[in-house]
Amino acid sequence: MPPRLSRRRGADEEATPTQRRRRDDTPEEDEDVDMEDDEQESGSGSVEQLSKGLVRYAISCEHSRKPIKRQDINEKVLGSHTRLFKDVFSRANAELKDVFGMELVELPKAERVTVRQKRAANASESQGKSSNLWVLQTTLPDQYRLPDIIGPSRPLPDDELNKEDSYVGLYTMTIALITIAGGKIPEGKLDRALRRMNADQSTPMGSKDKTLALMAKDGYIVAVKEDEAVDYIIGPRGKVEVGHNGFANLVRMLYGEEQDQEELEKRIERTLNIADAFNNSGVPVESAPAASQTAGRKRGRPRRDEDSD
Amino acid sequence: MSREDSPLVREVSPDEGYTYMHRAFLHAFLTHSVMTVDEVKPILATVMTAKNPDRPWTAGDVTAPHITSTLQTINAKLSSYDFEIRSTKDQHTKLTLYALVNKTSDALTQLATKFSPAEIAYIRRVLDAMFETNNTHTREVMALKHTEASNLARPRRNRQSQINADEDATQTTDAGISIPEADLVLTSLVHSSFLQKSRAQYFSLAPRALMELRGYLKETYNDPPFSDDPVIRIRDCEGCREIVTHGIRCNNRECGVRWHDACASSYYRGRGGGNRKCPSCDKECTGDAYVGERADKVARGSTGGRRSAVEVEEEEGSE
Ligand SMILES: [Zn+2]
Ligand SMILES: [Zn+2]
Repeated sequence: MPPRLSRRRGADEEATPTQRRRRDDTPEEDEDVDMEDDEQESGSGSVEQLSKGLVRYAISCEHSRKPIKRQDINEKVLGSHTRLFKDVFSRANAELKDVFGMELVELPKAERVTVRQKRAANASESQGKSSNLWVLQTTLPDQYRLPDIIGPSRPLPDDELNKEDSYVGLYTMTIALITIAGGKIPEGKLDRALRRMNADQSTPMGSKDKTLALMAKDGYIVAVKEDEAVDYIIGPRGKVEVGHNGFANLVRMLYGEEQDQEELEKRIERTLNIADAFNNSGVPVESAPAASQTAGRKRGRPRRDEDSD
Repeated sequence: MSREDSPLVREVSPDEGYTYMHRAFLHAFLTHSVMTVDEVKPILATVMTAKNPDRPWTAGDVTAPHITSTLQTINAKLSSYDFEIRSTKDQHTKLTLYALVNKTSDALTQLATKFSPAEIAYIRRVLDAMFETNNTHTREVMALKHTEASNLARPRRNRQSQINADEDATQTTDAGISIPEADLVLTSLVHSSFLQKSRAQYFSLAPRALMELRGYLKETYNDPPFSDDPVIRIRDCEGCREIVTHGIRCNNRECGVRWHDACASSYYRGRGGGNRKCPSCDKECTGDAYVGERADKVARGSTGGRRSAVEVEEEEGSE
């Protein structure tokens, strides 16, 4: 998708009849987008045009759930106009909100989790530096945030497991497990929990280890190795994308009907506070007893809604 | 399941403007890459209910004009971004489908967010095989067997010149990808409703890809309309004017008339009993000159499938 909507019409029309033509411009019927002049191609773009390009780029990246990098925005959207980044970004974000009900949210900077990393970080503190990575997040009001609307998508018709959805379900559940454990979960405990979900040996993404590696690569979780032991914490992407709402919704969905609502909300809040305390301080906290009990009774499948038809 | 009161009373008027209900509906198209009309209805009912919980909607309340007017409002907003929610009929199931598509003709570049340049080059080879190698004047298969798709993992030397001109010189020495990698690409394309795999194990473009690649396919595989003796590899249905990759063709090999099964049936049914003449060349339509994977079966002469004399003769004609 070329965000710089460039269009050359007629210029290379002398191509021989049998020669295929592959161009990233289009002689389609929609003339209304033909507003840019030829200079567009060499990179002269208004903030307005560049913002539209960024919106297109962001929506395309959303499909592959890839975080958007500053560098990619520069290369694929701005071209020679990198100095317009700020203007273009804020305008694009306003348009994303207005049209799509989404906004680009910057991911937190990768954390220094081990003692050694923290020492190193303290020695050369580069605070305030942004991660320069963004993901799209919904800005829809709560009453619209339903599985049919914001996902995960429903399984493919022919009984084929929809990998994408299982993945969403699994990382949401994994993040919930980490949150319930107080922000950090030992590998063994996570293994046991995944076993209860029948996800210990293999998942649609491959083996359990492969799935966890994928979650780590995508930034949903981070594996922390210290003295032989491996713990998992919530990754930058997990915080932004699943976050408090995702966790709360998951818990409500799993236990909502049969529990005392008020008590449930209190527990959710308590659990989140404890996890936050861990996330913010980086200091492990004792796990939350109330919430852990809840986790023990966990059953059923992760986020999936099948009452659609 | 329909409610007692008439849904017409609560028809959404376009002047209500662009609201969260529209944004939420649009969200659903980002979440589900393609939806049937029966899947769209409950979602629209859900967002209408979320908008005004005092007046809950059911799927039965949602009418076709209601869907259309909601989509019009959304598409008006989307047009400046070259996106559009389009609808089409599935060539196999005949169901109406909706999808959010990229209107620019080289929608393939959109895959760049998901695939590496080598993988995109592979996807282009798959498309070339579908629409050139397996889509000749005499055999319009437009689909690929799994083994054929696997064999394309590594590019053939002499086809290097056809690698996308946009990519710079370093890309033309593309070594291809491994067969397992190619399989992963195919699986992922099936999952994202870009490709579909038939019961007979043929890969072909799924409705969503056809909606999105309409412009690209014609531009890439058809000669410009005013050139001398243009080669036209991608044709529209005589009935509905959508691309045909699964249907029938006129029994006259030189005639450009193509049909979807259902479109041909309804056309000829409308003309009454005996009349089976092609609207363009008057040739009698026997309904067994196929476009799509059925054309492969016939021409390759395996068991089953009627083979007319013409088609046997045609076998020699392939490239
Ligand atoms: Zn048709
Ligand atoms: Zn004809």
